[in-house]
Amino acid sequence: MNAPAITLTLHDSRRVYRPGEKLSGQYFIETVDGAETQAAEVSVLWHTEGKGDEDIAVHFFDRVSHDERPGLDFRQPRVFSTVLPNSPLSYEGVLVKIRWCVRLRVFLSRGKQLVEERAFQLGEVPPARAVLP
Amino acid sequence: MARPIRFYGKKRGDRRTGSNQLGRLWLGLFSGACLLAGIVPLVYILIEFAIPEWRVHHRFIHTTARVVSTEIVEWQDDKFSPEILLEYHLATRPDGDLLTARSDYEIVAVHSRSQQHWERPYVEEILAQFPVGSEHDSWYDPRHPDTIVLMQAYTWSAWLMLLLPVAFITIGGGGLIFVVLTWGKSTERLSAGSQRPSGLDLFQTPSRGGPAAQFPFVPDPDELGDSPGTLLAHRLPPAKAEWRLFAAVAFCLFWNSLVAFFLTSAIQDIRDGDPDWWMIAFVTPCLIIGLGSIAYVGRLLLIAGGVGPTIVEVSDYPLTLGGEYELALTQTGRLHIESLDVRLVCEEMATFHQGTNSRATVRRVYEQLLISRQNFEIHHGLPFEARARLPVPAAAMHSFQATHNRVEWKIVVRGAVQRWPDFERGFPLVVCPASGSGVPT
Amino acid sequence: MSGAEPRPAPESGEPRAALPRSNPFSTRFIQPGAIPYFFPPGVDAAQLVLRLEQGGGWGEIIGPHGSGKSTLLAELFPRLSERGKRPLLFTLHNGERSLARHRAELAYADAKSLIVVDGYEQLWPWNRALLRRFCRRRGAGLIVTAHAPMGLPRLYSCAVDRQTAAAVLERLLPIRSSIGQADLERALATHGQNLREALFELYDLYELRQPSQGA
Repeated sequence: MNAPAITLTLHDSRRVYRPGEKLSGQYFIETVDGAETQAAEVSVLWHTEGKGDEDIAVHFFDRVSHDERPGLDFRQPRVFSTVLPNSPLSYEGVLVKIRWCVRLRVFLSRGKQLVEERAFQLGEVPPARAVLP
Repeated sequence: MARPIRFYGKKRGDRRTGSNQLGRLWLGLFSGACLLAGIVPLVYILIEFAIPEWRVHHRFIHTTARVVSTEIVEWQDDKFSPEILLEYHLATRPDGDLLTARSDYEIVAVHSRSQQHWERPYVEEILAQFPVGSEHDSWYDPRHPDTIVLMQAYTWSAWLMLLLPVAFITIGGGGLIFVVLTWGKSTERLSAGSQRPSGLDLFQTPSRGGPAAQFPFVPDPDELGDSPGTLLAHRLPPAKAEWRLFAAVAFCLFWNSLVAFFLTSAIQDIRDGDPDWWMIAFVTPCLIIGLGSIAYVGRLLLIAGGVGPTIVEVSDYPLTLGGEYELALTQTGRLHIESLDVRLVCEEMATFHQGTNSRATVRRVYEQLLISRQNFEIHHGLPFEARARLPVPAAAMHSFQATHNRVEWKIVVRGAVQRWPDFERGFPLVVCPASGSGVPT
Repeated sequence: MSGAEPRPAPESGEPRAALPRSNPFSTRFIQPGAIPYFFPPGVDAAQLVLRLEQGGGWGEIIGPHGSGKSTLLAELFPRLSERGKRPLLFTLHNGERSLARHRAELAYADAKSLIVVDGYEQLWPWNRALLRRFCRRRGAGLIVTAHAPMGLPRLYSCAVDRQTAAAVLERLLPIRSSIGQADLERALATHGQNLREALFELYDLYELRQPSQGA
């Protein structure tokens, strides 16, 4: 089976978004045999990274699948958009880092999954450095 | 959507959800059992030892009694008790008929007739002090004049034993109060003081209404419970440190009650000329731990009570990144302060479970000195007051709270006091992103 | 990026230069399952699965703190699933003494289940005996991790040696970095061959050696 080609793009090429702004984009999945893509989930989410266990929260979520919409053609671009929240802002801390991204999870036949991400920044909080005692 | 009580935790990867109500129910049952385990022996000790002895000292009436006869009563297991027949006048009727009553020497024997028995030599020693025909100071019960004792002493071991049930009652009662106060409240709300929620679901959204709805994953300022101030608009609540004090006091009481019990026994053996060296070897390290716990509790109490409350007020709340505010500090007490610093700080906190370990790490990422004073006196009834500008930096992270990670802003008051332990008190703040854009300018 | 889950961004990152780099020693990159277990020559996961089956589905993985017991479990899970087993993982934290709060999940255990207890020595001896009896009755397998032998057939003894540590470091830092092998060895020496603690120390070192950015 050839791996499908996933295209995930944000309409605005900027990396930095302001809270309350609209984020939109589109995705499409090209496969040799279009039927092998079972479902796709697009999420706008933040997750933490750093020394602690990962926290994650989904701000926007949309799932489309063949089960719900027979005849769905994943090769056709599918648009998504959401208004970004006021917080949490992207943050580059010492122990805690907050990362925003658009994540596309593609479910293939036989339980296989592919994940594609586009990172972006919400707000412009400068990186933090530890205060030495 | 409200969830029904789940009786067992559910595992989601490394994250679990469970029933707080069930946990509190168990805590309630445990606390109730502790309370009962304290009340029953307390009532027993009070009825059998403490109240009778107290009455002998404070209610019994003095008289002079003449010994008519003495007898050694033999009980089972080769145990004996003294019985002394006394003849005496009631103090209220000195010219009345002589009253004759049997005395069991001391009040503990009166109230524990079937239990307070000794070895025969000891009983003979007691009776030797009371030859027939001799007169002695005695005390009789005005309610029951035929109850008379020849000894007016305290049984210190019984009074020390009171500590044991008191410790159980403290732990059990405290637990029950906690359960009653927290029943039906969410973990998030309960942990707002420490800003440590749990059970963050993937799609968790903050409560609607107020700044919490406007700024997701910023702690809800309402839940921190600020109150109106007297110098400025808002008084900040202190970080919750009471539980540490409560736990330390409970441990100290419990531990030292046990130690007191064994120590009394060991001392008694030494006084009897038959020291139990195994008991002494066991009690000694326990005593050291007990004394250490007393010192620790003493230090906490000194800081909590001796230094006096610290009050921090701010001109507006919650704060916003880039905002300019006013801060007022009030420090009460009767102290000579060597140094007092007030800082605005921001700390990152991360908790992690790795394998079977779990731990938390804290890192300070912002610190600004707001007030600094050296060498001054605080007099009773005349608290120290200071005001300062409170500029919140624009180029910094806002308050953030998730299950394992958070960013916390707080005012930290640190003082060095002459002849007292240093103290540090934290006052959590909520700092929101700059209104509208959320992007500092 | 395609694949299962994100991995650390390359340090000499190109198109993503505008976005911050990840600290390669972040929990998400070093937690069990995120990095593979590095076996010494002559041993692999398939052999262990075979050894487990020969032992009737019971076995123990022992090793000191931070030696990779949980990581090895994560490595074995997919292979066990492929063999038709249904692993049920219970990770015990902070001195959990019983599995009472997992009773609902245990209720569904059957002959296909493989009960995995990470941190088995934390259970009271009575609860360990109960668990073993429960597994015997249900015909379920039992894998445990502990710091010392627990009386089950020995499946594997984990230990961190220089080669393993070097392989982990290479995996986390595929491209040149401010952190080197000497740093890892120093951290390992400080933490008594506890690789997990050593990697956490390298997290802080990595942050310290990052060039200052902005205010």
